[in-house]
Amino acid sequence: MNDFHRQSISTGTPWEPVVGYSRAVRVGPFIYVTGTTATDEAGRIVGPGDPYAQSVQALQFVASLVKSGSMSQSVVTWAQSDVNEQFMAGKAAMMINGPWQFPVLDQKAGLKYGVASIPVPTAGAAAKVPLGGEVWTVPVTSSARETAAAKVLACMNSSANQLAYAKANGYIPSLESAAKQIAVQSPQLAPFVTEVGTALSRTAEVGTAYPKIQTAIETALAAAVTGQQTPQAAMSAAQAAQ
Amino acid sequence: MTIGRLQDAKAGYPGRAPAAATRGGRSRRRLALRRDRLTYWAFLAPALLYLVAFFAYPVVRNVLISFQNYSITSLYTGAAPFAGLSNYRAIFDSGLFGGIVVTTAIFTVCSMAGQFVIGLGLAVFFSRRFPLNGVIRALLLLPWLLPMVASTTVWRWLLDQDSGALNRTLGALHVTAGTTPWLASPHLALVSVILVNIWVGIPFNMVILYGGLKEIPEELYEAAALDGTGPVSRFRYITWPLLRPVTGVVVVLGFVYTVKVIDIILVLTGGGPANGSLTLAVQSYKLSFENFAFGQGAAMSNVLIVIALIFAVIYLRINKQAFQSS
Repeated sequence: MNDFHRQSISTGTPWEPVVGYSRAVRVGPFIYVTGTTATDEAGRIVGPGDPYAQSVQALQFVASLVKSGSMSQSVVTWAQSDVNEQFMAGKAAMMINGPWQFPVLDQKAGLKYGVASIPVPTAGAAAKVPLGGEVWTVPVTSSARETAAAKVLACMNSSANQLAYAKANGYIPSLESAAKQIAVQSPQLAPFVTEVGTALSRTAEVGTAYPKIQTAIETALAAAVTGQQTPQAAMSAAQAAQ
Repeated sequence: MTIGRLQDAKAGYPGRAPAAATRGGRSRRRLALRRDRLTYWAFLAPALLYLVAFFAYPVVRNVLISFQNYSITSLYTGAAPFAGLSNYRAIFDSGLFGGIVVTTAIFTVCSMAGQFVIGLGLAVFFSRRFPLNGVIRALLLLPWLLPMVASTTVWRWLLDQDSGALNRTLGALHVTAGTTPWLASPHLALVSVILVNIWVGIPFNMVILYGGLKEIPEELYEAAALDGTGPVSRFRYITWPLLRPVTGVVVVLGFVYTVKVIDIILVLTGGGPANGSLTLAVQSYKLSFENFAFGQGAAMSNVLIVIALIFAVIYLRINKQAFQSS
């Protein structure tokens, strides 16, 4: 790799110098490209205000990455841990992943990596990352049961317990004070702590329909990437599956 | 033994044994009859309890849930409104059902054919005497003994497109370019889960068929050898016909085992990509435990139960015939 000349292509977004990011990096015969908004080849934004058109464009982009050989088709079988393994094996320059991967990453001696926030469209804008993890609820049952459940919740929500739970599972505590504490203790978690503050819960807008929507999108993505369906047909099928 | 006792009791029933109709004899017999009945139920009770608790209850519950709008809140509140046929309508109208049935049929038929042919071949091979026969036969049972999720995870690594041993080997031997998407292509994924399932099912087929082969009297082969028949004719006219009852059992049991396979597919492909390896059993799991549509998941598994039941009835018929003919 040392013989290869490295050429970076940037577009001047605010966070590019911050994390040392480029739109595309060319190293010898390899070109690493990153996905951005739904733009066509000429850089024009596709389908403003039209989520369907934008989604089709996004699918098209991902499918073209696989078709051109820039990305392995096996991404359709990957889970988050597989992405992490690819990164650890040095096959991916960057990955979007969660803080629960740190224990695995740190097992590999000599692995050097940095953590950066998800890019935002304009400087200072809040990152809208999807928020997963565990949600504790008190179901509507009898008042005695609800009181007992609330007691358990109150116990789990104490600062000390949240910290212990977060550390054991590689999560970010939902208590702001506890989250700040964990960011100081493990600086690599700091970007995650910031993001969690403005993150969007996966069920915030779609509620219990989330699993169904997720399955539909996953199927559409796999169908487009494997060439089973055109991006248009895949997206229409996903829409119909709702 | 229980049945024998019952028949004794029946023989002692007043109406059937008029010769013993004295008063004292009658009450003594009635007592004996009651005791026999008690023994009869005592013997039956454990099996009945087991069947009710672990078979009847889950099946009945599953049928009930399939007619309810059973969501994740139902788990806490216990309230699941009656939904009529809407769950069944949802799974049949989802646009996936036809494809899932075809995938299930291809998976089941191809798996069974592969398992049977290879299993029979190995059974015939091992029915001859040669050194290390027992050791090798025991080794071939390994896939059956390994925890399914563990062995399937290893298969997932082997079949990986970029760093899997299979692609590396094929690439190094210049058989393929070494980039075959075994699990990443919707069509090949189905082929891959079938191949792994065949690997898992070979020992079962081999063991049962081997047992069947051992039942065939040696004299028949000796007589055939004296008549100067070749190995193909011996198989065609002795082995195959005499193996028929066992074959029936293997095929029907194999069907029930194969049609409900879920662990292999879940670990290898999760039913994907793009529903390429989605079978009835996997979709039932996904509806219940990924989409939390328990009603639809139950409806889907009921469809599967009906299909398996039809073949179970066929199995009982074949078994009965085999029992009667022997």
